[in-house]
Formats: sequence, structure tokens, C-alpha cells
Amino acid sequence: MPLTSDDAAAQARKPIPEPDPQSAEFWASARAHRLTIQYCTGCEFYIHTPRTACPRCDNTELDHREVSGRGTLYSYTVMHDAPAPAFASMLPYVVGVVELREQERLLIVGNIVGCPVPSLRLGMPVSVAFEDMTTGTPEDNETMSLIHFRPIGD
Amino acid sequence: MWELRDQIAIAGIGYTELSRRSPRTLAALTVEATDAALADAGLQRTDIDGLATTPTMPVYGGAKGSVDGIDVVTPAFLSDALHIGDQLTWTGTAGPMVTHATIDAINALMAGACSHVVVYRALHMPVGRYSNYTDPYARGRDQFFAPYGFSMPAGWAATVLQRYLGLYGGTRESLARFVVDNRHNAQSNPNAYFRGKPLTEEQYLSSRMIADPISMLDCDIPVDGAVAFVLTRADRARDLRHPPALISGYAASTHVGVNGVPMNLEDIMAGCAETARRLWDSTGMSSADIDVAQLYDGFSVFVYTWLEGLGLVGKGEALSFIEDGNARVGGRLPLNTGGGCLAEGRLHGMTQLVEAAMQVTGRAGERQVSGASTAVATVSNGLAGSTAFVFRSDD
Repeated sequence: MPLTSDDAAAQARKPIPEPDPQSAEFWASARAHRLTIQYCTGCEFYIHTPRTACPRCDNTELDHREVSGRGTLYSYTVMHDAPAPAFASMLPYVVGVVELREQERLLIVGNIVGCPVPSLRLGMPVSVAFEDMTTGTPEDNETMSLIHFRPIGD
Repeated sequence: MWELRDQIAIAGIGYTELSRRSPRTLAALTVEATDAALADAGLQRTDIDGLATTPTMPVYGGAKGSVDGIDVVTPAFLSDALHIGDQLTWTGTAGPMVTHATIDAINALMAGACSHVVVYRALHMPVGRYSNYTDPYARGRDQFFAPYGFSMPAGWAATVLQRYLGLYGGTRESLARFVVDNRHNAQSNPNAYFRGKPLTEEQYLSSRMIADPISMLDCDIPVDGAVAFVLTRADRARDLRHPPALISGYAASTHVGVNGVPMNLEDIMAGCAETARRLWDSTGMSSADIDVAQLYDGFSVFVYTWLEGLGLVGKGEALSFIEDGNARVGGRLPLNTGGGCLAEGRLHGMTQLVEAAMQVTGRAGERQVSGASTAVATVSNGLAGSTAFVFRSDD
């Protein structure tokens, strides 16, 4: 069967995060343009990606805490090859690994936006930025927001 | 120290041609590799009572097939094809890498569950791309990576290499030395996909970028093909055609690390170091005892991290060690003497195990390292799912 234009558009859409019980709060906050990270009040430890228990103290009573959204660029890559159809038109684009300032080695992935490739450097300060996306079907008005980072002054 | 040290050996090795797209089925290739390994050992199909493999095809986000005999070859399929179903007493299919199935086979042999195991790895290169995230939704861990165009292992490895270069210095020019030398090694390996195709530094520097700083030539070469070896107790192996390659010890990494990113340099180094500690405990050896190293190079960066994590060179010294020529055949520590996964082919660990066995038995032909009596082989990136082995010559 030939593809309709709707099918083709759906195929060119970025993969949409599908929240699960552990990640629901993370994505609900992102939709409200707040970055929250799972937090263990038992041993005062941020956890990303969300888990069922704290990796340090096994506490299962975990909540989420809003963080500053600021951190430093731990590492990055400039992608020249698209791992999904939606990214072909974006090439080259930058994937960043950001160490949030709340905790050592609290790493999170997002695209680095608003930064020319030659200006990228490890350790550069960045701040969270959100990208709103619709979640797919025409009858479904749900939205989702992705986490990105942009450079900020030292 | 491992009480079974040097009591299990590789006794025969068989390869098929490694090509980009074989017109033959994966099952036919696996039968050929198995028969070749048996012939190399001087054994018959009737001697086999164990089969071990990891019957998976690596896919990242796609829906590529898992058809038995075409995309994968399970022990059940192979035993039927070889007509040995009635005589098998043990099969193993541990993953994620065939090295885990190898460890299970070692233990099955020592437990008396079987006497001759054929360990094989068959890899199919399907039409299309390995990495193509066609699912419109991202679930599980993917939800934190795939929406950012970060569902491709080359991209993950690129962030490891980027940080390595940032912390310790190094440029594309300094990365060229290993890849070019490695391709040179493949020129004297009759099994290597890239035999007959040497590589210059200029070609490396102009190769297509995949995920900067990882170019196409920093990625292993996916192939259609199969490799098999016969594993048996050393006392039996001594009666066979070739000298046995004794297994002096093995280790597996269980280091998971932080979950916010699929791979990161510090956790990879911690995993390599943990694996190294277990390996030296198992073998009673140290890095100073190793004559040749076969280090996993699914992406070139892992060679640097394994070199340092195993303690073969100091922290941050891998690039300069290689640039100074120490890793060439004839150098202080010849590295990936058959061309590794980058130049022999993507065999998910077989390349490293088999080349280590060839070197310590003096069977590596033109690329033989003179006097090599010990070899280390590592597989995967150092995180949980990785393994390391030491092979030794029989005295």
C-alpha cells in the first residue's frame, strides 16, 4: 500500500518518549518546562535515569526534585549519520552529555542547541532548553517536551 | 588463582569467507565453519557432544529478522544440519557476547557434561541499516536517548572518545596510527575482509564522519560469515593435530555505571579495571606477563580504554604508546595482530579469541609474533557484558 502524506510525516517524526510509571513525573515536568530529577531523600542522592530503588541505599520511596537545569558539557558528539529518518534533515546535529551541577556524575543526554560546532568544548556551562512536540495521531492533542541544552556565559 | 587454569584449550579453528553479503544462508556458512574447525583439530562430526554460541543479531531500533538459519543459527538448528542431535549432551547460548557462551562451555567441559564443544559465532549482515530507529515511540531506556538522535552505538562510542581526547589530548592524526597499523596487520591474515586493501593515513583522515570523532574507519566492518573453534580439555587436545592454546583464565565485567548515558569514559575505565583485577586474580599473572594483546575494537576507542584499563600502559598513555610504534608486530606489545574487528570483520569477539589462540600456538603465519607465549583477549567495551581471557602456549 502506498504511503499517505500523513504516514510519511509520521515516519519522519522523532521517536516520542513514552512515559512509564518511573518516568511519568520526569516527562510531566518537562511538559511544564521544568527539569525534575528523581531524588532519594533517604541518602540525598539524585538518580537519572529513573529507577525503582535508589542505587546507593535501596530506598524505594523516591520522589522528584526540580533542579537548576544548569550544568557543564561532560562530552558530546556531532552526528553526521542519522539513526532514524527524522534526523536526516537535521544533520549535522549535536548530542550532548551534560553533568548537572547538583551532583557529580549526574549525567543527562540532550541535543545542544544554539551553539556553533567550533565553539563546543568540554566543561562549557549549559542550561536546559525545552522543545515542544506533538505526540502523534491527529485526534490526539497531547504534547511532549524534549530536554535540550544551550550554552550560557561563564 | 583459578584452580582449572590451563586445563581447557582451543584445539581447532575454522573460518568461512567473510564477505559483505553472502549469497549463501547463514546456516550453510555455519556448517562450513564447524566442519573446518573439526578438520583443523583432526576430529569428526561424531566427536562433538556440545555446541555453544550466542544466536543473536545486533539491531538498534529496527525490526530486523531473527529467522533461525538465516539471521541467526541456534544450536538446535545446527545440530539438525550436522545430523548430530542424538549425540549432544550439552548446549549453551549465553550472551550478550559469544565469550559468555565460551565461559559456559569451559565450565561444562570441566563439569564433565561434554567432551568436545564446538563454539561458533555466525553473523548476518542484513540488507539495510543496523541502526534505524523506526519505532515511533521510545520506551524503557531508549526514551532518554532515541528522541535526541542518540540510538546508535557509534554515537555512544563517540562521546567516550571525545572525552578521552579532551582529557588526554589527541587529534584525528593521532588516531590514524592505530587504524592504519591494524589494517596493515590484516594484509597477512588470510581470513580478513580487508586483506588486499591496505589503508593510508590520508584515506583514514578523509573517511566519512559518522559521529565525530568516530569516522566510518573507526567502526568495525559488518560481514556475513561464521567462525568456529573446538574447545576441549587440554589432556585430550594434546593428542590432536595442533598444539593446544591453553586458557589460563577468564574474567567478566559486571560494572554497570551511571544510567544517564549509554556509555561514559569513567565507567568504561572502571569496568576495564575491574575486569583486569579479576583476570589477573584468575590467571596469577599481571600485565607485564603478556606478549601480545587482542583488544576489542568494535569501535577504535575501546582499544585505548582497554590498553589503559588492563594496565598495559599508564592512564592517558595509549595514543602515544601506539604512535611510538610499540603496538606493531615487532614492537613491545603487538596489538590486534590479525586486524581486529576493524579489518578482519565484525565477529563479536571471535576475532580476538581466535587470534590470541593462533599466536600462542605459533600458527599465525606471516603475522606471527616471534616467541609469543601469552596473549590477552578482551571483548566488548569494559562495561557489564564484557569479558577477558588469557591464552598460553603449552610447555
